[in-house]
Amino acid sequence: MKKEVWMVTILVLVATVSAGVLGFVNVTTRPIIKRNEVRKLRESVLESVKVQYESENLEDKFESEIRTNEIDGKEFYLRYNDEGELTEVAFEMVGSGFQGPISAIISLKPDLETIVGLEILDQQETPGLGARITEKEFRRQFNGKVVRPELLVVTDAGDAQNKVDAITGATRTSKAVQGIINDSVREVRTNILTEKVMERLSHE
Amino acid sequence: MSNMKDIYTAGVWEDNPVFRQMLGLCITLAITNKVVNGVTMGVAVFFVLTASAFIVSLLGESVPRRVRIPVYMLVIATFVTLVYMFLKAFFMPLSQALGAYVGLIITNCIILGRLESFSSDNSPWDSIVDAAGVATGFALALIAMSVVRELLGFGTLFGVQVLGSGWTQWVSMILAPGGFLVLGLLIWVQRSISPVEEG
Amino acid sequence: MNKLERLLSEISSYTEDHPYLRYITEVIDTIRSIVFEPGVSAEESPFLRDYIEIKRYMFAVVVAVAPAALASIYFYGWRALAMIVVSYVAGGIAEVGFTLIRKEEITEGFLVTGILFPLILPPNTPLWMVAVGIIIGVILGKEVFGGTGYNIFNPALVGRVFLTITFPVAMSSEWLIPLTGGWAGFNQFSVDTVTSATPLGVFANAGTLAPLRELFLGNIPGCLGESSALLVLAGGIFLMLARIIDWRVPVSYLGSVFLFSALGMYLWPNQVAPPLFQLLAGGLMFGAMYMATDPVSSPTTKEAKWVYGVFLGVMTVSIRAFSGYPEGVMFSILLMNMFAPLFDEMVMTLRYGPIEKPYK
Repeated sequence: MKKEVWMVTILVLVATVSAGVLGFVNVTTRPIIKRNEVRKLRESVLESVKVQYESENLEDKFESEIRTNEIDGKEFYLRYNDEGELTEVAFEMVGSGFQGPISAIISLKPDLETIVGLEILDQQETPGLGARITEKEFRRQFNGKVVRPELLVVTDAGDAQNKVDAITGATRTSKAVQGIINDSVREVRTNILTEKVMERLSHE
Repeated sequence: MSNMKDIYTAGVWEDNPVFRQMLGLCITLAITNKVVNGVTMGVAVFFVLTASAFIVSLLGESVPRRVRIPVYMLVIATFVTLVYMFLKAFFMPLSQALGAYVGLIITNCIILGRLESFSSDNSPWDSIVDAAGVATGFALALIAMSVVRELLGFGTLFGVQVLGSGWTQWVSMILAPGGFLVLGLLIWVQRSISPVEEG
Repeated sequence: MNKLERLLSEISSYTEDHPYLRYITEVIDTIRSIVFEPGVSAEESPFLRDYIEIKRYMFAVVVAVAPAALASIYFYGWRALAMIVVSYVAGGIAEVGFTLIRKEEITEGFLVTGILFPLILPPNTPLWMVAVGIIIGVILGKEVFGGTGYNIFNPALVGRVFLTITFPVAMSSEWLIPLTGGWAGFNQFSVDTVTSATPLGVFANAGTLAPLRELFLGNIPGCLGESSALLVLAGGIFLMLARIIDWRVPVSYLGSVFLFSALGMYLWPNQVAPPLFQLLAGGLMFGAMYMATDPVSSPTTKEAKWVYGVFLGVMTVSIRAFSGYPEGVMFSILLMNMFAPLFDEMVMTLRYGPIEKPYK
């Protein structure tokens, strides 16, 4: 009997100490982790709408340039010009890549067709192949392209308005990016930012 | 003191966890495509292993045999979670690169193996030396593999281009097959230098 | 025994006794064994392995691929020859170096691998890649298993698969348009007209088929030796007539590709190409004649050869139709290499009951 009691006691003891230590560290690191994530998101949003910033004035720039608006449970980052007209709409997209989920920020003109910029937030694609979607050379291609009727990521894009070049050797990842963009933009266009909503948002 | 030295070098070379005991291979194959990942994982395992070895050897006989594995797991999991949160807070790019593998140190058999076979019935100091030796051996194995793989795969070391900008990437070295090939070749080299005693 | 053979054997026995000439006996014997079958054969049944003398096999295969090798120079210029030379030199160094370190005998096994390997590479493969591939093929494909005769996988294909996954861009998206007419490639070193796809790649992407006549004669982009189905077929038939390779593997392999692509075309018309196109395009003909018939890595019993060929065909058609790769011959053969011993053992067990293993 005594043995069993001791067994339980030591387990409880170790578990308590462990929980205490972890709780303490969690409380201290959570704000930092949270801040890291927010910063990363804000950097990506600003990059996607082509606003220059320094790492010191990131927060101020974000506050002054971007209006965050939650519509139907989804966050939208809106940017207005000096006359108070809507110029860019940015939002987060998530979808499955070749190896794992890919999340990205895309910003569009108010027509919800023309791409202003694309930023990758998180991905687990193959280093050196699929992971090259994070490289500037790949993302820059999207600027000015239109998602109409669909955006295509293909081997030989040429000058087509709705085509960009795929990454050689990473067809699956390239197709995944294509799918994520088309699906999210279509979803946003038809179900969230309908014409009525856009009219309301078009001026400050 | 020479005893301590023997304990240490055994872990590094003669009983190297990767090349001799074939332990921790999942992590070894998965994260060694960049030297930075190898070093980070090596340091993380070093911390977790020495810290838990110390705690477990302190607990020593007071842990009843029937619950020793749950107790060890709790100790290991605590330290691993510490490392996980620490990396996420202060080294975010690294924690993203290592992904789930930091959390998976919990199931790394090297650690449970050392706690079970050494720390549980040895003095705290001997346990720390043993853990440090094995962890150094693990870290060196990771670094050796990642140097070969990053050099051939990217032409870089620690992200710095060393093999010229025209280097053709050896893609398979970045992927799992390269991990298996390099692991096999390095085991071959290590065992050619000091052959396994038959018997 | 014909006259020449008798003559050679008389010379051989004469030189053997001669105080000065006995050193060349080895050479005479080598020639004898290349040209004629050796006089020795296994006498007690059951015969698990049929005995092909290694030099004779090597020589015949090299002769059989020679037309395809010459054609590769015709289509792609003298650079094709440079690739073959690099393959022989680099692979030869690897082979000799390894056997010296391990203190083993040097075997002729390399002669065939050395010429087959460059012929299954894209024509503008950088020469250093040829060297890397053949070294990996020889060492990781053959020597680590114990050398010639002990390898599980076809060494040339091991080298090729390593290059395929290591240099995907060079190995799958840079092809050359072959030269034709007049002296074609015999007049120049290399070809510059680059194209991005082989007929199989074009079919996988766009669904269009190359004309069968061109596929048959060889006027299409592809690997060095596989361009002309005609020449590969001729070499294969020569080997079958000379009884160097068994006809069962190529026949069952090609036959099952034909049948399953006919069936597949009916079930999935957009993904599976028509049978004749499948037979003539890509590396199928080359693989079926020279790779799948490799005496070391393929099965030895007759029934197992049939099963092996059928599985190869199903797998090739499936990989071509449903995977990310347009070509599947290499992967099919390597995968089935693993099953070859199993097929043999199953056949032996069915025929003679459980086998007692002497080495247990």
